[in-house]
Amino acid sequence: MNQKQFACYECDTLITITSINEGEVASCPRCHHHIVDKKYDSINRTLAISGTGLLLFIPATFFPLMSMQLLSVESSASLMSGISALWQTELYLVATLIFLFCVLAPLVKLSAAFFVTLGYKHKRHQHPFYKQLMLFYHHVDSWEMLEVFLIGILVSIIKLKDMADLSFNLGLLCFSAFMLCVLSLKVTLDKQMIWDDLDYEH
Amino acid sequence: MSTDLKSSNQESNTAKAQGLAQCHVCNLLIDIDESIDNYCPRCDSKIHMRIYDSLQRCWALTICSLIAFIPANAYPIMTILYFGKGQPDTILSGIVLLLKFGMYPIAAIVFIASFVVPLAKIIGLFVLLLSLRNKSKLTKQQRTKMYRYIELFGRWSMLDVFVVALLVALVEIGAVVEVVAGPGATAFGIMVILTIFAANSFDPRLLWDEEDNEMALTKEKKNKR
Ligand SMILES: [Zn+2]
Repeated sequence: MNQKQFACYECDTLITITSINEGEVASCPRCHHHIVDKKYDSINRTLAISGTGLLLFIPATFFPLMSMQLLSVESSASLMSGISALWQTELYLVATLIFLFCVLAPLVKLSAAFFVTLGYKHKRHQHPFYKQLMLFYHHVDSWEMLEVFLIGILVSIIKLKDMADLSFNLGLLCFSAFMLCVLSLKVTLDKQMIWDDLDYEH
Repeated sequence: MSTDLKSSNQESNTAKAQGLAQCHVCNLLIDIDESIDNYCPRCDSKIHMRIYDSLQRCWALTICSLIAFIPANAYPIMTILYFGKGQPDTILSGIVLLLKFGMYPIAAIVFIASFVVPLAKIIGLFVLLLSLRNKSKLTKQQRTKMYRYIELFGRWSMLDVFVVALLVALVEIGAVVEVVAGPGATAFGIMVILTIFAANSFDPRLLWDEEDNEMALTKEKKNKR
């Protein structure tokens, strides 16, 4: 670990961290915010998880999540069909927001994490483009809302359950797995370690 | 597992007091010269001692979200049509309807996510902003914790918008039942975005700066004596 001195992001206290082991968390003595969170086997784990997440992207967004049967008419909803239904009812802004939070942000985040770890594994992290990739990851990091959408699916199922026959589809399983992959990035990707390995002029 | 840390210097132990600023992207500590623009040598991001114009932007965005909160709750978010007829539902009337059907847990979830969370977020931001102007009963630790929760739970207010999207896509059984989304959904989406930006523009370090300034002042006074 190169960088020893840190300032707490929430209360600006200066602290010195001399050594920290994998799996340990260093927190601020004044406000208890986590400052450095050293992760286990970050690169391999992140590569595996982001790869899996990317494979799940198409089934998670296009496969029907659930279907409904009412008076012998059957209909089903997927993430994309929800967005296009809103677009057709002229709620363009809402449709765009859902597309950004639940489709684009997770996809872009997974791809960025995939290339960040792949590049690191192939020792390409001193390449100037790598820094841009890390910056890009930082900016898309907090915009996905998949876990909120999953609870949204559950709420709509319960809302409709008295009105019609409902059934789950394969898409729901893919979506849940996709969500888990995206959420796991927070636990596996050690951004601080990667930044510490990048060379720069003092 | 967590390691206990000791502050490196007890007397002037903040980065600002030492003329240092931390890069908000890569966490590098940098000597900062406030008369010029500073850039991080490691990731090239622009560095400010505190989030630039934090209070001004946070005030403006919080007031805007409070204004957007009104149409978000006043306009119908969706209409369920049975045989072409139906009553438009706002968020609150939708919750009342859920209570009528006896779906208490789900009514509680929707009420908390789409009414309590955004309102608490807006009120919380006002409390934080006002606490910087007047003396506050809450300690700095409590206010920092409050800010952390505001950031953490804010996203959950999108829940009802997602539910509307799913219902609109799912219930298209032509002549019998149909779900139509309403203009309230747009207002609601705008409000959520505004509260996210408002929370992001608030700099929690400002909560601590005041105390640090006071400490520095008392130290100066002692030195003069
Ligand atoms: Zn930086």
